[in-house]
Amino acid sequence: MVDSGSHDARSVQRMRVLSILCATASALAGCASLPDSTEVATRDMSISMDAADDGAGAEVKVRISSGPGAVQLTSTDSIRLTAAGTVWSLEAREEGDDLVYVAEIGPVSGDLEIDLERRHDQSAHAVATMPPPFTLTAQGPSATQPLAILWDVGSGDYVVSLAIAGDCIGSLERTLAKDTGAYHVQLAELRHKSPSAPATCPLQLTLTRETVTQVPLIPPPREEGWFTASTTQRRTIAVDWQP
Amino acid sequence: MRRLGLAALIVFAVACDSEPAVPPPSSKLPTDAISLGVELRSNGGLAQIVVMLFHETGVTFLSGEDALLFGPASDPSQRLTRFESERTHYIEDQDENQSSYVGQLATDAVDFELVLARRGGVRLVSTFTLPAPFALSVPAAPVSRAQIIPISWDADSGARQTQLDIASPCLLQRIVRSFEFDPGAYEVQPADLFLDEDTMDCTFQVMVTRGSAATAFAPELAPPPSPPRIEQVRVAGFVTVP
Repeated sequence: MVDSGSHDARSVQRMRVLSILCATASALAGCASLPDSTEVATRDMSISMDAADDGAGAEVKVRISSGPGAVQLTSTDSIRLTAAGTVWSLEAREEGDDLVYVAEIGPVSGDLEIDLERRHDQSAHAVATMPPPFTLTAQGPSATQPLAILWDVGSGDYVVSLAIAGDCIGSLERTLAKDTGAYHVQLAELRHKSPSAPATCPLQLTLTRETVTQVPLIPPPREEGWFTASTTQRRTIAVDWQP
Repeated sequence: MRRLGLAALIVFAVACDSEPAVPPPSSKLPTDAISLGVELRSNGGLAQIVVMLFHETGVTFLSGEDALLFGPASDPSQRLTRFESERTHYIEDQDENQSSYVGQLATDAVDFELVLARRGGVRLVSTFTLPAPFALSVPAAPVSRAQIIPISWDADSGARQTQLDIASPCLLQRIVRSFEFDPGAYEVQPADLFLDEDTMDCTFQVMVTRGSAATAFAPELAPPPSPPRIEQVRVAGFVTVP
């Protein structure tokens, strides 16, 4: 951690102007090279993290940007992820014109901590919480029974949502008010796409627990930069629909 | 040649700057240029109807000897009353009226007629059949929101569309469910209820609406601009506790 009081104010200001100009020029010119992170002040950075677990473990993607464009960590800057007490290194990967830092961390819940370590500017530490994992099961609907959905009850500050899709029906999407571990959908709520659609079809059921975090990268009182994160536990299963 | 060109230019400029086309009043229109927008609802004891007249350029209004009459199939004698919507007050330069025609009858009838009466004794009769009436049942005693809350009504397999709507001052989000067929029942689940955690006693209002497609507009009229809404509606309230 570098004490911001020791910085030359003019040097920081120059870095800031240069970083914005570089990022803008790269975005406008479509240049393949990205600005070096050493040219960008922490206060002008945005770090975004997407962590998604579809039941086979979580993949975490981190993007660092400033203004309209991505920033590449170089030289004396580094980033690490800590999840469930384990430190994970993030691998730089190009995705189209974007640069992401990726780690496959397996099943995990709880805090995901990002540490941006910088030698020549303020380092940053941010946290997002991964919802708890769960197992999803369902009893398919029939003429006399609703679609009955069961999962492991959890607790935490996340949103639970449900999605039901099938070739013969329009998709049904619903946000649940609370995580109760059980929910049912009546047959009459599954609306066929058209009068000629088959009476039944295999259904795809998805239950998602998601948190969204947005906090300043540099905490109060300065409150500069941004850290945004989306953390998701998602399970999808196939469900038979009995006539 | 120059004068013709200038005249043409003036006519063109006037045409471009002219007001939007205003539909003429009904008495100036032939029958096949008039269409009706209809909403008819009943709660089993009171039937309400709202009618708007349309011309191809927009909403028009009754004039001259034209009148709208409404009532049960045996007696469509109530003259509908003109109702001006707020929208008309904001229209300063247009002559177009945003009028609708409303009526209300104490009746449990399901078969109704709407008559556009015109000069010379002409009567253009449209018929509407409401869905079957039904009773709505909700918990009689206060019920816990931590449990499933059953709601039921008399199902109608012929209903075109059935919708459930639950609202309350304490619900942060209304519950709206549209059913492909009339299930005759719905269970409100704890996961359906968006509430503040410290909510105590709270009254829920349930509305079940059942629609019908049994309508027949007078063939002399233009086709309606949209399908009519012909509905039986039942409303009931019940108290919930944490």
